[in-house]
Amino acid sequence: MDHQFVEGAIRRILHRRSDGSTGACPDENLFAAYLENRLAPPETARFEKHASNCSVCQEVLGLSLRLAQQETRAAGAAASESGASLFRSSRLRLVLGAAFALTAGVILFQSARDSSLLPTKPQVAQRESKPGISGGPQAQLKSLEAATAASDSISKLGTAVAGQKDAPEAAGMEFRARVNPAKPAAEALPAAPAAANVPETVPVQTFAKADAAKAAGTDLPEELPPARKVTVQSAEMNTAAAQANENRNRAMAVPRQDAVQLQNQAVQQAAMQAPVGAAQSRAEGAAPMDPTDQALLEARAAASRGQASELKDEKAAERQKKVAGRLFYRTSGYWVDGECLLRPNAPRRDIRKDSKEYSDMIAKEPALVELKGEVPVLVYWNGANCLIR
Amino acid sequence: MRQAETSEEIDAVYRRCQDRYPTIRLAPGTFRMRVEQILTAAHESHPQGLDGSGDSSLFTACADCRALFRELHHEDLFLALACALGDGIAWELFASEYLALIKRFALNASRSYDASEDLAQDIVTLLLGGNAVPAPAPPGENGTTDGHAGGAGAASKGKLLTYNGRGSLAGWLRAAVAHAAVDRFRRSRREVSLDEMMQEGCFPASGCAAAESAVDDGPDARWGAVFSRALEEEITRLCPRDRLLLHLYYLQEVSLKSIGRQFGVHEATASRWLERVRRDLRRRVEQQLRKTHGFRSRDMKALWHWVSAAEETALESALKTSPERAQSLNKVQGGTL
Repeated sequence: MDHQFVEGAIRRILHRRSDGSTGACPDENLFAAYLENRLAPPETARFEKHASNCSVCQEVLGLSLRLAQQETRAAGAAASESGASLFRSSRLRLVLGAAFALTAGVILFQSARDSSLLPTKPQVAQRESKPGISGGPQAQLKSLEAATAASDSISKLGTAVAGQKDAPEAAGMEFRARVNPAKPAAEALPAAPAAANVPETVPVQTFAKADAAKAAGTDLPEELPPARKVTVQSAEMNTAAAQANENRNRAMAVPRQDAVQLQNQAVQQAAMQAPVGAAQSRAEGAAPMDPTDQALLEARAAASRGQASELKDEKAAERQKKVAGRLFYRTSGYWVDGECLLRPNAPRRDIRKDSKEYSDMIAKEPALVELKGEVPVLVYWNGANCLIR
Repeated sequence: MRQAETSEEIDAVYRRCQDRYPTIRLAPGTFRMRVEQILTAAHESHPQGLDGSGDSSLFTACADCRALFRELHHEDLFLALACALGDGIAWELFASEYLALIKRFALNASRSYDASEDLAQDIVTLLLGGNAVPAPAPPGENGTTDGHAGGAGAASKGKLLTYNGRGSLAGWLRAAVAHAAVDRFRRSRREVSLDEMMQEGCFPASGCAAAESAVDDGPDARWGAVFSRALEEEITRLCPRDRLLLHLYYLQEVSLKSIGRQFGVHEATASRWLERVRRDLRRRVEQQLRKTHGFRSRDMKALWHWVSAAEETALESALKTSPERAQSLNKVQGGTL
């Protein structure tokens, strides 16, 4: 209680004291230097001595400090907002990725079983009758076929899911469609040995993005889960029958390993065949996506959707512009030159607006000045994709 | 020998600035002259030399002048000087980098969007040289910049010419906005006071007198003036930094975090400083009044209460306003601050 009275009394006296300027107030230079702690100690002392007696300077100083505080707060809020959006985005990707991986893993397991990659009881019996032979060329060929089949199924699934927003549902439907027909066959087989012949953990790599790109041509999916390695564990594998067939598992270990390797190779080959440009490759890497790459990809998607054909309305005019005989797309806060889409692998170069290179460019293509604004421009120039900031 | 080194150093800085802004054309001599002006001004404000050496040959002999030169924001100075001398491209670059910042500062310093627009407009006019009183222009090699003479500031030399690069250009602009906002606020407050005088037929101070008289009864009121004077004297005796701390915290309502950052200490340390100043003030005032007037602790408590309550009473009295005055006050509050 006393504390409040003391504060109130001090405030009142301070208020009474602050009735004007004492003259010869410091200018903005001194204020800026003081606020950035760049004054020499004697200057700081002189500044504070004046400010402690001058109400005008106190007000300026107080307002400057509050402005600085608001700037700091705004910067912090912007940083936390971007962090939150990143978190939301990464969480979505994680969920989608997990759904893909789980589905792909089960389908792989099912396909392997369907294509007799996993030996049935008679096959095992046959092999057991020839000790020392753990898998010849024929077994490897079968493994390759199975791997190719598995990769195809993953590709189709990836394409189906990448094209839709409700990816988990789509994945689930595809999963049911593939699992159910196989169910009678699986039931016809002796369940225990089949289950036991599958390793407890099966590494699966999903290449849904590459497959989706392949299927869609130039129409690249916007939200794709990152490729990741997952481990799928089946409950069936923990049965007592699996324990009983441990010896046969050991005998089959080598061919199964080969099959997995071959399958991975086949899927990787499929990924290599997809028309993936440098930008997309960079985008799929482990490092966070460069905003310019993001803009390039989005512009490419926009172009392939045919949005670039005509400037029909005002909204389209905001997104597209024809400048210097080139069509520019506005995506992710960039203006992207259509030429850049044709040459995504061209080297990237940064050009500042105040640079000589920029002046040269404007001298040769004066129309490009139209795009001069706050938004960065990605333009194909002199054999490179130039980012003008 | 040292003169040559100095010249080389300034030239190297100039080249760096030119690399940063290759499209701005500012003669090296103009830049060098401005730097020398800044150093001369700094030296003149410290007749003994910034390092106390008393040497009159600036850059060559005064170590602090050399240090000052190295600490300048050279690129900001280069840009501001080119703008002030009317380089069109420099203005374009300045606008793209700092115009949004000025508007943001103005918005934060104002209570309404319209007022912020007016304030930002004032600042830009001031920078362009509309009604500013610029410092003496540094004579260029040919009296003008060579090239880009058709820009927005081609014909005028605005406030930017006074920028000396000791703080960043953004910091300087923030201080400029704060200055302009405070000026506007004080100007409009004076206008309101004049309106009050016209309407009420008396000086606004009479309101305060009424407030004083409202609490001016009883023994506390008689001794309150003595108590207030003692407190004021003690506040005057405080060291400048402590006094500034009190002003910033109690009157300007700057947060302890900002105060701490400004004084280079943690928020908690600033809080401890404040607590110490408050405790010392109280102790000294009470000690003095005990000594001179023989007050007891109970009397002291009553007087603290009285001085504190007098503030509230004065505030309440000031807020009891006529509709016309309320309207004019609203006009002020819709303005800056």
